[in-house]
Amino acid sequence: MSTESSSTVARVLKPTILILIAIVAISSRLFSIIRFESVIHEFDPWFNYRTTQHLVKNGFYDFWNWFDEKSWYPLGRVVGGTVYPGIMVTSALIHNVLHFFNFPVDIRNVCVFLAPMFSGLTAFSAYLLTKELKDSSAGLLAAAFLGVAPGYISRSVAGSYDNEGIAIFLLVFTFYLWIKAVKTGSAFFGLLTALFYFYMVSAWGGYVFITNLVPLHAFTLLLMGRYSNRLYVSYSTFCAVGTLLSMQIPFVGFQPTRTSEHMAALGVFGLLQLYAFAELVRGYIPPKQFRTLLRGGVVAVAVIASFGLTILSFSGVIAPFTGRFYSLYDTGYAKIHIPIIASVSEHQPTAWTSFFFDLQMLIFLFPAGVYLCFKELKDEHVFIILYSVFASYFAGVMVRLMLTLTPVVCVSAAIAYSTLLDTYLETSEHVLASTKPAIAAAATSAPTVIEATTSDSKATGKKTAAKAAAAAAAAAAAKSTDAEAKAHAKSAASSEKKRFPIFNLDSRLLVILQLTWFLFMFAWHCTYVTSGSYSSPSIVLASRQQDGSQMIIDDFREAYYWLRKNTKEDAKVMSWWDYGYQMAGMANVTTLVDNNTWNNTHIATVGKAMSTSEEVSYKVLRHHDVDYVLILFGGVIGYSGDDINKFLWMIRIAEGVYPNDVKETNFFTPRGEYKVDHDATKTMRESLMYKMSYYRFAELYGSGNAVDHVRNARMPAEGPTLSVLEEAYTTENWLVRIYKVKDLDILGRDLKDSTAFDKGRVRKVSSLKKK
Amino acid sequence: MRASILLSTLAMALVAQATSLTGLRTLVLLDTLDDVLIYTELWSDLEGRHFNLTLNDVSTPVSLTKYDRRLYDHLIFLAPNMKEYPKGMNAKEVIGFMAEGGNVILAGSSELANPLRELSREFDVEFDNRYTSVLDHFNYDKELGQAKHDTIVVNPSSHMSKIDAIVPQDKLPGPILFRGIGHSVNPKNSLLTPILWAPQEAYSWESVNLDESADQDPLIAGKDISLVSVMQARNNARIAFLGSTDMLSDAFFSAPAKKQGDKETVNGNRKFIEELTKWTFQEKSALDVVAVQHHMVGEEEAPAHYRIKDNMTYTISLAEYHEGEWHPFSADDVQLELIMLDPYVRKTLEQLELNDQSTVGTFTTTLQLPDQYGVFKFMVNYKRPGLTYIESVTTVGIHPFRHDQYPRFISQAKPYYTSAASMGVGLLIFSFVYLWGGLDSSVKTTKKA
Repeated sequence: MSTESSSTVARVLKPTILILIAIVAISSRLFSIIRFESVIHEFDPWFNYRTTQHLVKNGFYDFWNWFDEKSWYPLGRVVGGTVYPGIMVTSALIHNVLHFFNFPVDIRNVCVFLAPMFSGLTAFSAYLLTKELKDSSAGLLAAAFLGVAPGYISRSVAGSYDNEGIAIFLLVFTFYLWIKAVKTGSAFFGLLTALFYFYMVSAWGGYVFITNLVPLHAFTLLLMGRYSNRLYVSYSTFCAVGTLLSMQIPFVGFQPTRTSEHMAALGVFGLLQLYAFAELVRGYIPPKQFRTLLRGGVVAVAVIASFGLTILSFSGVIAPFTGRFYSLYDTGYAKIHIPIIASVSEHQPTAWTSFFFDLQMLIFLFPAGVYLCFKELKDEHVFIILYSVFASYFAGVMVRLMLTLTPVVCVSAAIAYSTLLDTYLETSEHVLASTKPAIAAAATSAPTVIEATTSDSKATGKKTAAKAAAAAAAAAAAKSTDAEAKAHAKSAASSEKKRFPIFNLDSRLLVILQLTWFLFMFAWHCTYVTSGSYSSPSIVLASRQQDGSQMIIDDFREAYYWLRKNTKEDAKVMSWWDYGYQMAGMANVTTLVDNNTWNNTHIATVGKAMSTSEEVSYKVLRHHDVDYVLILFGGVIGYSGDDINKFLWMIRIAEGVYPNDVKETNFFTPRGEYKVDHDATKTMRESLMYKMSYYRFAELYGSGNAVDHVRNARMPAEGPTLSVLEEAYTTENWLVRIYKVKDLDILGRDLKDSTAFDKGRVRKVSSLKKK
Repeated sequence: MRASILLSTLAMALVAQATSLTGLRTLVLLDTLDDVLIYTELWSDLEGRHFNLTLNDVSTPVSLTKYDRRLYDHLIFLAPNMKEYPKGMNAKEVIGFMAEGGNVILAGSSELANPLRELSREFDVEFDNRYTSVLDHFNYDKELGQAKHDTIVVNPSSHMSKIDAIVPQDKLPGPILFRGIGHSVNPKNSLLTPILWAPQEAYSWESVNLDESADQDPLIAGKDISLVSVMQARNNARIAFLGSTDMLSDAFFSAPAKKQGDKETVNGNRKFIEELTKWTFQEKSALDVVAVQHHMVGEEEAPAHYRIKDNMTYTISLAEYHEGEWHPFSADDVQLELIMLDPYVRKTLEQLELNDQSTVGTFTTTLQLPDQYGVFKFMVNYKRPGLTYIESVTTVGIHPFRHDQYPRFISQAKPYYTSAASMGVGLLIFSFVYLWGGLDSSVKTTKKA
């Protein structure tokens, strides 16, 4: 092998490997499509899909100013001003480009496949980022890791059409550009960083992570005394342009200048200007005077800044941190103050097992990679260290933020892994060189290239290692020409002297084999997790029957289809907010609340309607013109995510706004248990949610044998009665139940009486007689 | 809106012959067919108004509806002794008949049996115990109530409701004769209106053994005794409750009314019953929304949605049915409400002046929409006793400004425009000076060194 040929091989191999990685990344995200069909998953994606449809159909201007009358009835929602439009615009653009070239691809398929496509790009940007930190072989490893890491797949399988799908790519790529900008000190890369930052702002609320991490990096570099013109140019460009651009998104608006979350960026920007000015002044005046000036300046600036910030904060110009932000500090905060945030499962603190579940071997390579960054500690390594520290913390606080941790884990792990391979395969190259002296010099002069080839073809690596075993390590030292090789040779020589076991064949083999085994296990684990846990569309459930055959439970779509076909066009359907987006997207009905939880009072009102007695509830239903009520009930098939299990959250949220109507303690038995069977409290049994869930449930089983399979409760033989609602539809497995709200009785009776009358009961001597 | 115009024109076409809005098929239930002869005047009155009467006794099987459609438009109970409904009929059927839009007259007597009591109870009307009568020792009729003081003379000017939409007072030639059972109404039921009630001195007591001394107070007495009450159900079906079958009889129609100490006068029964049946069978006081229009000021078509603070015009056209024809409806108390959970605007509509050609009453107003976006209901909620309930709801979205509808340059921002412009100019000058002007490069180098 000559230098030219090996670099040519590398030039061909690298893109090939990257393309293969992208293919693997994309195809491992397609389980759900193969198993089910090309559908949009879960909840939020349905909203994104609906808005994308609107964008494609009505154009950008209309989308930007879209006022949605069908959600949050009767308040409506200013969609254009309350979304991150990045993902919709991206898919609409792809759709329009394809149509321009006469590829009639349905917008649904663009949306379904968007996240997998972008995962390929994410892998590529992980490669670029890691290449800046170490070398291209580490980059390839990072790309491969990030391509299949379950922590990222969890939010980017086909059909999971959510902001995170493109945001993680933008996050990684923005960080790559930032590092590039700091390294080169080029305003061009600073500008690119700002542009991609803008894209990120338009795509995901998590952009706040960038706005805080980049200034923190700059600030840390300042503290470390690493101020440079490169930093000044790149940060000033990024901050000025990025802030201005981010303010163009209506949902963000003036937040960058008015909220505490964004103050770090501006503060560091100002600090950097002061520092640069001080540097400039230092060049012009004698050191002694400068010191006095500096001292005075620092004190003055500190006083002015702290005063200013305090005054602005108290006068309300700068908004204090929001509740969501506080809950990142104190995990108990949300539970006490904002139940609506705490009620979302993805806002819960992370269980430690999920770190291993989502990252497998990467999680223990990760600290090693961070350690290696410390060892090198250039500007860009400082960034990775900061990133890993903060992302680890946040991932520990909130399950959802595992997503931001995954890229840095992959990068660090790749650095660690590739360093290991370097150490254990590099020497074997020397050994190989000694047996074939003709190419030895060439080989050592291009170590990185060969690394790349060897690390990716481990099988050959092992073979060469075996072949080289016979040769003496010391012989390599004499042939080396460049400095790096000398260092290696020296260490090799010293190890020979001390008989350090690391360079023996068996130890090398052991480590290499073990690492390879890890890789296999990692790939196996990732596939297993992706296929088993993250590929369920959650609108279609699959379960195994006793004979092993698969049973598809398609109740959600059945119910939504029923609503779509059997209700009048402007029917208002009330449900808990979880199903708002799906109902709007699939059933095309007007909803009261949905997953965009912007109005806590409105949600609490729905909670009140669900958790109070029929009489109280009926007033709320009438007041909001509700035609139908939709609930989930899993008691028949044992689906644990049903509304009775979410009921406590409804009660809590309702109690926060209507403490006189709803009291959480009334739903617990005297022994403090949450029961639905004979022991259920009176309030519980009279609540609308309980009645709707168990209405006619006992009839399904016959005399007294009704068992709720979720809560393992034996239900009373006499089920609840309903008078203000009538059952409109119940799906095949009773998973979704729809009730129609009755009109007022035409004779002015209350509905309890008229229902009793319809069942054949007549009023006996009325109260009039007894007066 | 178009549908309602179509409907009303259709209805107008129909009324060329018909006098009732709902239809003419009338079922009369009698205790026995012999009773037909008691009410001949009533039959001729009704037939004079084109009603097709089907006279049945309670033993004849009958069904009110078939395939969820009414077989009759009106139902008259003149069968107080009915112990059981005719085959094929029950209380639920009767209420279902009303839910379908049928109208009912229910007349009782002292012998009123259980089925009709129970039916009345569903309407919050409670007849007094069986065999009781309304008795009055001061206002009894000299001739008919001489023996038991059970035929009472009721003065319409003081003991009849002043609702002209149902029975206008000035059309009655004289007082009303009543002999029968009293009832009480639940005052909490806002759909129910007493029309005729007993004089202050009256009481309700068993009339058979009158000689026995009363050992307890009567259950109802004085003005609490309702003699005739009506209800207009939420679906505008109408029902009238009469405590007396006798007041519909030929004997009562023709008898003179003479209270003790008063002059003998013509009684008002016939006219009273005529007006009451006209109201109940929807021959009058029926309203209809002919058209609802709303648009921006200066435009004609209704927009898909409004913008906050727009000026818009709302118009509603109402027609009133009487004497077999639709006439313009006149009122000064029709209100428009803009509701999104709560009313944001409530305004009384002005009626346009009527002329010879006008067939509808047009009510209109121009208003500025509130500074609040959302889905609003434009609601005319016009419910007056005796008149058809009007509840016209038009749902329209009120949108916020679009991003390019705000003023582009505002005077408050002039300092900022100035600062931005001066910054740009300053940068240009600075660059120019720095690159080409003034500064000597030699000075620079010495300073740096």
